[in-house]
Amino acid sequence: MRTPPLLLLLMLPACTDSYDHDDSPKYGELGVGAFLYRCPADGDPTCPAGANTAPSFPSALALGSQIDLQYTWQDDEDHFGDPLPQLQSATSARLRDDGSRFTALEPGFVAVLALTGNSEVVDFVHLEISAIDELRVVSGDDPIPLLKLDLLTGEEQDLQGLVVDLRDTRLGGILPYSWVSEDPAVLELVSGSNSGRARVRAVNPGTTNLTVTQGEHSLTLPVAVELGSSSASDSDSSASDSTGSTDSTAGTTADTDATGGTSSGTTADTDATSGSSGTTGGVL
Amino acid sequence: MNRLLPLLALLAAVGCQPRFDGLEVTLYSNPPVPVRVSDQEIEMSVGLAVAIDVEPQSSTRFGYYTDDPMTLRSQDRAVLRVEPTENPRRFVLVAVSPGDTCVEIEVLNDDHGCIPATVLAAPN
Repeated sequence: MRTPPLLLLLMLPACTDSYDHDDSPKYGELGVGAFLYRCPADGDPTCPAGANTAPSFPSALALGSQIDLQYTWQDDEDHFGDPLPQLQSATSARLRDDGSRFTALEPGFVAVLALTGNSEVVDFVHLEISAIDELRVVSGDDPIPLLKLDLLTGEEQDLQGLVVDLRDTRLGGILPYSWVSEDPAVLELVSGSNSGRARVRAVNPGTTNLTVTQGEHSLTLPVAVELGSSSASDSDSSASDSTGSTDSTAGTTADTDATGGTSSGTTADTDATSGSSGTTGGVL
Repeated sequence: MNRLLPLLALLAAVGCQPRFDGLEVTLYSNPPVPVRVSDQEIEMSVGLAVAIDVEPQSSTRFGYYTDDPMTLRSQDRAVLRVEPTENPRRFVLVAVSPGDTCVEIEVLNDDHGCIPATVLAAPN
């Protein structure tokens, strides 16, 4: 069948990328350019693992978190040779700016202005800052909160701490976290013990607790490690994609109808004093 | 008669000038929280920025040209900033901290009063 020329003509625009900047920006409200959300350190759930730019802006920033912002012209030809504008918070009491680094200090909306050297506003965008209501842990990029961890010896799993507000909105921004295994002989932290994203490894069969702390919020996950039937090296990826309750090789997750309330059972923000080893540092 | 010519010319020139008769203020951007912006009042919550287009109105049949210089100036930039943009008729109001101030209007280098402005502490 011959493709009609008109059809080809219609298909052409759909196949061309009219916006050749990287990642997914938030367009400025004056339409001159776009703001990019950068993660200044590993651990922000807004940025995929290994990426320092978010595919999209989060609905809101966590109170106390930090982000980097960058501005790009929407049409480079119109601004060829122009220096990029400086970014500035509308009010530093709510969002403190330090060059491209911004720290969320107060809940509410706040504008970030893009200014030229002669103080002309080129563009601006609004961000929302929201207070943290609940701490959760998810496996990798899976959005379903974990209730407990079931692992085989030698298995490693990437865990992501994330915070939500009262509306159950996932909040963006870099925050300090603390991950503590009560029995490192059963479960050890491989990396990220102070970051929002940590990797754990099941060392020996047994049970223990993994305590995650972010600010005044704390969460304890029961961990069960069973003897793996095969070598440890093949289990790395199997954990992160199994979120249902049928497979015993991964964490047990909460139902997705959770709308902000704490799940029953093991996700309550506890005082984290269960267990025996006393290595619950950082719990407030 | 010749002596009156300069005077007549002056009167004719004055008669051809626009006479300021208020501002037409239009919201250009869409803030996440409602704001009240007109030539009579400005009220917005702290942290917000809003772009407005302003057009001076004339009570005579001679209007203002688009390149006639016009300035909006906040009396207290710690409360409300009024920043220019590339478009000489577009300004960005930035609510910096709660309080009251006034935004002065200057058209063709003449002062035309000010617009009372209030920055609220919390969203409406």
